[in-house]
Amino acid sequence: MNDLRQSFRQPGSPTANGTMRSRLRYGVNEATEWREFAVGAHREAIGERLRAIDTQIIRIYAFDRYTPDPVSLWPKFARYVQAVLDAGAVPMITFTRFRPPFDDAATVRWFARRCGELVWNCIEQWGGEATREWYWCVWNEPNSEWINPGFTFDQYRRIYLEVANEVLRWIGRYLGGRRALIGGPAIDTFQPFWSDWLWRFVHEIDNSLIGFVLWHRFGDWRAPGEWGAPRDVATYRDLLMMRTYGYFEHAETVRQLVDKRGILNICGKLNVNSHQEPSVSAEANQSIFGAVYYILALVQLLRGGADAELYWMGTDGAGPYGLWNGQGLPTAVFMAKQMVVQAIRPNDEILIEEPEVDRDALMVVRARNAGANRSALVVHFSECSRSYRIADLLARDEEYAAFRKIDAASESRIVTSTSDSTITFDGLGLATATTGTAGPVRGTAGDF
Amino acid sequence: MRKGPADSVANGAETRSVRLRYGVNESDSWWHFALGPRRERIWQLHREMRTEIVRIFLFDKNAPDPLTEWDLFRSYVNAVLAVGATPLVTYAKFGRPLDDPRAVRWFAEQCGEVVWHCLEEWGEERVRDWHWCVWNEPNSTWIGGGVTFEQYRDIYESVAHSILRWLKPCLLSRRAPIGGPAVEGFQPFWEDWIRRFVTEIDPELIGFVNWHRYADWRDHGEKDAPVDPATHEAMMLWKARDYEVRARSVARLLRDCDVLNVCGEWNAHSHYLPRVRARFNQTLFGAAYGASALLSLIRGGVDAEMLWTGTDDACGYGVVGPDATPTPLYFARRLCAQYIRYGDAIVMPALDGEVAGLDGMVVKDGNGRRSAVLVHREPTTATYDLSEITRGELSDSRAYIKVDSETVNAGRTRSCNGTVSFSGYGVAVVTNAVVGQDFASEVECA
Repeated sequence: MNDLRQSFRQPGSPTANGTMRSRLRYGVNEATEWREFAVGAHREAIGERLRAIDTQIIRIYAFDRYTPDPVSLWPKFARYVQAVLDAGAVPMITFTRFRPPFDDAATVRWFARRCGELVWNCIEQWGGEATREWYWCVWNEPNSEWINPGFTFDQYRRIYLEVANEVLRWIGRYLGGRRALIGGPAIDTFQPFWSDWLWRFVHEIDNSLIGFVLWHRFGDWRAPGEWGAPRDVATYRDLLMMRTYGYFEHAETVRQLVDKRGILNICGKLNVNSHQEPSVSAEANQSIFGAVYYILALVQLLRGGADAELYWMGTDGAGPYGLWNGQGLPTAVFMAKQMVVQAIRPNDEILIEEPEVDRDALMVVRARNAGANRSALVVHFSECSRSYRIADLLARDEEYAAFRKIDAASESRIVTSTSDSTITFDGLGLATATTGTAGPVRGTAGDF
Repeated sequence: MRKGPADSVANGAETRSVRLRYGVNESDSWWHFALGPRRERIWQLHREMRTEIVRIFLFDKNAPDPLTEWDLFRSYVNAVLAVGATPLVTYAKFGRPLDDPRAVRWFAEQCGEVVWHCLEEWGEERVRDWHWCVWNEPNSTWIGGGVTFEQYRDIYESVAHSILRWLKPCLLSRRAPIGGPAVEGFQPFWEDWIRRFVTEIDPELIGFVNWHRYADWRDHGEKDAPVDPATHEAMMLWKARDYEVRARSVARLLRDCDVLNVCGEWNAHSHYLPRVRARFNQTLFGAAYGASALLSLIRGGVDAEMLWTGTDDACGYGVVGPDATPTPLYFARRLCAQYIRYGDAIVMPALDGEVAGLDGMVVKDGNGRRSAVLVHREPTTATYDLSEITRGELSDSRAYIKVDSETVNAGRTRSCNGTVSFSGYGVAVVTNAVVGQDFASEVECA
């Protein structure tokens, strides 16, 4: 984690030649389907999936409705945590909430004690050296009228301070001078004045108690035709895709607040649509549309200088959000992310371009790692079918060994080619090209 | 209004050209602006703020009915022309059923009729430079009546065709000076309106897009706003950077369209009670916020801005009272307009690092004038070394002009000794060539 934090702080600003260094770490949330993830029959396959997409942080939830109570069901909760470690990631444990009254000093104290006890249990089970690298998130979407109606920042600050001090009480002795990775407020950015929470969070709380700030962003919460959303599906999807630029704006806004304070900037939840009806949200989230939306969002997070992203979510049974189901069967979004993490790795030098040809439909990202291997990612975000000469897209004198592509026609598999001079996208899709030996990051998952 | 000059990079330093035109809204207190006993002084103050565009309203905001009160409307427009500005006429709304095609046609006919009357009254040469805005905040149920985009699109196209029926012959090759949707920026999904506006409406009918932005509408402690005034104000001042973010966001949506990017309504605060919003808008805090917002709009590449509002009779927004008494924001705005002019070059980044509490911009004109516009965004006293904060860009500065609590809410010019001091929130210009002599002056003009 030391090197991770070091690399977090160094990159992000443009380099002399107009490129920038990626500081983005990849991650996911594992929440409602924690059983499948932690103790299910397909947990090993799910672990492979997580490694295949270079998952470095997995956000899990304590004191929530769906997850095991770490006090009364410690063995189950420990298996939840162990599944994260088995996937080669570090956990971000979210102390989700307690029931009102939020103003009651005794209740706040009781909650902080429970959080501290959880930290102590983790240290007992996995040791202080390991546990000090973990993330501890206080609360979930405190600014959301839906999830926490009437909750105020002043109440949140009080809870945060109590919990952070209780976490430090146990973890502090292992930190060796590092700042503890405690953070919040995990805000819902659909809410007006969401940035107020972040401003107050970093200005009104001792920064030595803040390791990261967390913010959430979905593209929409409405179905076509609802609450002023266009009825026409093509228009609706066009607007959704346009909003991926918002990830850049949000990441940059947060970066300006936290960068000089040594605080990490983490998009803690992202996906396309959070509509309550799975039939609506699944179609947007788990299709090739969802894949392209997510990859564009990742590129914008890179541009904006985000330190990490946590997709909502990894395992989701028959739900509308997951990268795979309870059996570990992947969606198009998983395959797209797998391609991207192989092309763009943390600390790569990257250049984001809108090519001369079809710039309203294409985005190109070039990446170069320390070993001088080069990769290119081409994102096609138009629903029209189009072919491009590779020389027009990647005009530089770079010899790419192979091209891999996923689009609307190939939705269930990645297509690999080595010799084509053109690339054809059948609607929405993305392609990656690599020189040298750029391959799977960890694990062995190949083409599907 | 025309598209602004291009930016350039030379000798490793980025130089951007100012493309901003300054403007104001004259709305609820239009009578004082147009017919009040102090109107000529108000017009003079507008000229000193280099007001080039005045947004005026029809069919709302107690504006005169152009059909039954033409004389009053004539005075309203003549006041704009007396300032030396051009009007941006906003057809604010209508009260008939939005889905009724006959109602839409009736409204469009009325709008066209206004254009015809204006052409008759002021002639083609003048009227072809005016702008016409269709509806006001259609995405806000409170202000614009909760119009759907589909309804708005039908209304817009009908009105635009009706305007062009009379205006087109005198436009020659110019783009239609018609625009919308004047979206309210607090609403979620406000960008959707801009995107749909420029993709679903015939581009021949669009000359500009208009968007609105305030920092807040809550009083201290209201709806989870900070109870502590200092915290609330500091947070609002930080959010002045949103104007740049939004300007760029809109510019991205307009990327391939030859359409102007206009922030048609802005100020610090839009609380529903005038006495509350006045505390934010019409104080030195409002001056600092307003100047910082202007710098952000300039950085964001906006083509025009229109402050809400110019003349103000107890509404809690305006920069000039009915008796022509200016607020601190008047002086701040005037400093910005005098020293950051259309076509001037701004040096990026302006200040050395991020000097805590200070926002600013270094500006050069084509005649050797170099100035720094500085905004002190903290309520405390502070002194800054000019050469440090501007990297020596202004070594020959002779004067500084400032507005803060020391100047008793007025501008004051002093000789420059290499430092700039602020007493609380304030705005200052340091320059090697003073523009005009109408601030109380302790130095000779260059």
